[in-house]
Amino acid sequence: MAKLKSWFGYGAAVLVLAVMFLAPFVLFSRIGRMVRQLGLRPHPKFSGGQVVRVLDRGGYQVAIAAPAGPVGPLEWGPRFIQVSWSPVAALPDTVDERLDLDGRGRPQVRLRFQVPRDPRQPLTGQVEVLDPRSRPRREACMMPCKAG
Amino acid sequence: MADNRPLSPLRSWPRAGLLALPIALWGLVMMGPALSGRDGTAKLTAFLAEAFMAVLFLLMLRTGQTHRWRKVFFITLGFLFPVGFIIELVRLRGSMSIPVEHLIAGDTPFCFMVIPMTVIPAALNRVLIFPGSILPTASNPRAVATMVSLWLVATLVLGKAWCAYGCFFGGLEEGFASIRRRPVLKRLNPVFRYGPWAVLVTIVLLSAASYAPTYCQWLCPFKAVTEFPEITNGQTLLQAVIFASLFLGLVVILPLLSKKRTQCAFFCPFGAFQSLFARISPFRIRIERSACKDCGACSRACPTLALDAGRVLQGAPRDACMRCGACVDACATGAARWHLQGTRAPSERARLLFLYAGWGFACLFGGTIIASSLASLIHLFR
Repeated sequence: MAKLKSWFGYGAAVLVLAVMFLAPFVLFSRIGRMVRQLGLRPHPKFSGGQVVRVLDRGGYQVAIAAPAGPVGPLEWGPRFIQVSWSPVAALPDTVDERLDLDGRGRPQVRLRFQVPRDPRQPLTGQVEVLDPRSRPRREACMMPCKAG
Repeated sequence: MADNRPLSPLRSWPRAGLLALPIALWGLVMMGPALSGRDGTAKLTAFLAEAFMAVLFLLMLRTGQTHRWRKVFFITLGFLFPVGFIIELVRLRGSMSIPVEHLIAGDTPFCFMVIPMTVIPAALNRVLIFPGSILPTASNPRAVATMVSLWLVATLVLGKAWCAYGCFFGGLEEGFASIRRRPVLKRLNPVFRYGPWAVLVTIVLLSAASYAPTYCQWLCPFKAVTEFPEITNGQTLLQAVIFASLFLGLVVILPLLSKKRTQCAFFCPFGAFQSLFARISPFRIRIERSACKDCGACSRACPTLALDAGRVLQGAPRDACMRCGACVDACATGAARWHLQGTRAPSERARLLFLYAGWGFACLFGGTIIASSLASLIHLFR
């Protein structure tokens, strides 16, 4: 019995060493693939949620995401809708749009902002509510301005 | 029959050098991308980091002491990691604070501390409660998949020893704990040992209910030296004050006064989480009762209070033991020793096998962080 335990002990040590020295060549990529296959997605309150409609503005596009809001039982905070403009290079100096966020044919918000040509410059603008059920969030005016 | 041979024999330089050779070669492989790249600074720092890790390992084998040399690596890592991280953040964002647009873009580096909090929301809704990306991107190489892979390998290889060979935060408090020769605070209430478990349970439940990384938002002391939400209102100001207070109290002042890793021993939920996997590793620390003089040197040396008189009598530390080797180094009679579960392997053999795995991971993870942080520091002054 003692000999068997000893075999297991040394076997476990060899296994630990094998895991360690194989990790960068085999295991990291395999585990990474497994994590990807789990189908996890960042919470929409961080990522903005999935894009549900894309409006073509002739040269650039406006992507409207699904409303993002609380998921957990103790989660609070307003629901919000993320709107992204791309590509930045094709945007006019000033964007001024009335947007129909829910696709029912009536605009709910009017957005105006100057497009900063330096991506490190903060993006500021105005969100005007046209529908009394909505209200602007501070972040609505602060989307990333990435090249492309 | 217990093995009562003297522990940690002093090896000859050639023998120690021969045994250290595999780790030196492994370090070269780990530093390979930097050493073969075009950046001269990165080459230099990779070479320095490789030499640093190899020399420390050689000294471990030559002197038979583990904690003494591991500590040098760990403190270096603990102080260089925030420096490199902050330099990188300032280069990318111009500030240590995370602007909202970076949160939304998934550009926040994933931290292993978040892992326990993500489990329940991920299992229930496949939702990741962290503003990071799943796969690495150019603007965020520390993505979820990358960090989870690292954590899983670290857990299989090290278990709880992650806290002494992998964690890039623990070196800070180990550094402050090493400043004074003798502790001012000699008695710490042992009930605080349950602190990490209390914090772990609280944050896991709160995160599952609120779908937010509660610990990162409110309690992480290391936000003070890495990144934190941009201060734009009363809430973010309060968060910043909490981060700074916890950092000063648990990472600087208490370790300085008590010579213990108080943040790890009393607060860190990830340490408690890793304790759950402590028994995966076959490598243990044992106290050989027949050789023990009950002098208490091992308990005094233990940085996380995993050993006390009761545990010495039982012959093994608590699961909070992170295999740092402080007790073995401190034991004059050789009663505290390394043990390979199920075997009667001599302590030195068990230690050597453990160190190949532990130091191998330290080279892979901490060694490369030391190299890249040094390179960032040099770039800053050029």
